[in-house]
Amino acid sequence: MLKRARTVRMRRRWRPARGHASYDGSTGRVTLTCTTQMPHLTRTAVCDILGIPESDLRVIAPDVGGGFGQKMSLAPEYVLLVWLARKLRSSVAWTEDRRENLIASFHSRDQHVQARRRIRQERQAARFARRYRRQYRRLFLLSRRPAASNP
Amino acid sequence: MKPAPFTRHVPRTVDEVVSALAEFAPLDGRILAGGQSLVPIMAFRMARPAHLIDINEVEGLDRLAVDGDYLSIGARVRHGAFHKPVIDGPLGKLLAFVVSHIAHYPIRMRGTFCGSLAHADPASEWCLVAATLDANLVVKSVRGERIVPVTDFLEGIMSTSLAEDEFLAEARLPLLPDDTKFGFYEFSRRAGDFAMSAALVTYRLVEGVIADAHVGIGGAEDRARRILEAEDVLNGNAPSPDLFVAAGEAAANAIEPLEDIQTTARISLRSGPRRDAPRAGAVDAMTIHTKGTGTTWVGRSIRRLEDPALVTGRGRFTADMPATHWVRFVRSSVAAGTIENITAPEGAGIVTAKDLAKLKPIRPMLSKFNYVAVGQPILADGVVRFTGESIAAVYAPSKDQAEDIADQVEVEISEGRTADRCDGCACRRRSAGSRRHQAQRHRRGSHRDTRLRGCLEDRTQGAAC
Repeated sequence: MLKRARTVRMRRRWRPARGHASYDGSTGRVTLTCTTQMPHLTRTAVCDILGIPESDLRVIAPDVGGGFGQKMSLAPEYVLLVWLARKLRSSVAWTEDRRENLIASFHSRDQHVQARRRIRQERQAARFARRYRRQYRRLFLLSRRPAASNP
Repeated sequence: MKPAPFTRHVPRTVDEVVSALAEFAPLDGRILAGGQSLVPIMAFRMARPAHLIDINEVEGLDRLAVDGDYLSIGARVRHGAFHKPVIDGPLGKLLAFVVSHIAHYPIRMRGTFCGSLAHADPASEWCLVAATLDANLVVKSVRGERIVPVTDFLEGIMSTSLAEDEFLAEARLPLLPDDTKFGFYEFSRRAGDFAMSAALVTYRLVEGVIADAHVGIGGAEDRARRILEAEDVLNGNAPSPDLFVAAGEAAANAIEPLEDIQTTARISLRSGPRRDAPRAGAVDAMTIHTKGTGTTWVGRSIRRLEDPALVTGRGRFTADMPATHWVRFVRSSVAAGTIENITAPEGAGIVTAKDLAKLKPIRPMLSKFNYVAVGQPILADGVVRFTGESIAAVYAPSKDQAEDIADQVEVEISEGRTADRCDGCACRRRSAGSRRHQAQRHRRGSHRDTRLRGCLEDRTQGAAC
């Protein structure tokens, strides 16, 4: 028995992403201000990716305009902003436009899922289908976990 | 969010317009009237005309008057001109009723009637009016003038029979006899949205039976058109609810709706998420320790503390912060492929994957469901894995400069196969070593009870997964 499921591309942000990274020349620290919902995880993830101590990065989440799923993933763009601020020893900013957000944002994209199993009885088939739907839905929800990139 | 460079020409007479068109149309010139469709898509650089011939200063094109048995609408007449009936009789009332469905007030004060026809959006209200009432369109060029019936003018989605050097100077709507009755209905999700579908009907009552019925449908097909099958049902019969239902069914049978993103949206709207056990469980979990105390968080109104600052302009937003450098990303236009070459203009500040070689990819943190984490590079490295993936980042002293430089960066990509087809479990179908390895991991970790061999195929992970 084969089950298929599909979700379409979703965009979860009514206001496109913005980021601003400033470099403090005296301490070498970077302050990243960005439209995130989880500044601490963003700090941990960005520092891990760049290979710098967490004390070198401060992440500020200013007024954003609400909570929406896309604010819970780490945008590669933010990593680049921090990297570039350190390289240029200066402040850098990025504002996504709506078209970019719609086409390219780092969030749920189309997903095609297939599952297969061998069955003996009708009842088993129904249970499988039910379980499959539930698993799939849960997977789909969970794939928006913090710092998970789900482009 | 700023258009690519262009030259604006401002002719004062129709003769100057047509000669400018003859000169600049072959050099990618376009007419600018109200600009309510053209300017936004230019801001997104989806359209990048080299020349704009601005007709807003042209004398005579703002004419809106009755000539004999038709209403002439010049190319500069805005939607807003129809807010109040422009003439006595049913036509004026019809236009005043229809216009209230077009977008929003500021757009109606700028956008033009003829511009809407020339743009030929299938969902356009004016295209529907023109098609239903059999409008004639006056088209001008240096070669002269021709009058085109609307059925020959509208050719499909945003396509008309206008030649490159022609422009739509005037639309002529036949006046409606005083005993004409009309009805207009539009379906859209929110007021001001593009219509998912719209219908316009006019008819006359002669000795108790319907005569001269016009039934038009817009938004459903690639262009608005009269539905003769429905008109046949109406003509010669006395109006009754049953008759209208029959005409509606005839119209529904006669059209072949466009398949687009809204078609799917409509279907998915119908089957919304159902309240299920896990969610109910979550609600219980949140309320259980407050049971009996009279305090429960669920359903309780929570005092909002952030509003005063936000509604008095004291919100602090990232975009307001000054910066020395602005970044703009150069993104992939294809879903899958190999990056062959990246060329940036002389002296431009650019970052590519080569510069970021020491950086780790982003690894999703997920320990559920045998999830196989796939690293996502900060900038596409060698291969492109989804449309819109960042290939390079450019930086410049201002946002606008960054956008212009990003536009000049040339990326050569040899297009590859996308992984959006999923005919079987991708893990087992492909023979690559890493694939097999993943498949094994799936099997080992498979659920004891269901032995669910799930494979998440994500379009984005096509090349790497």
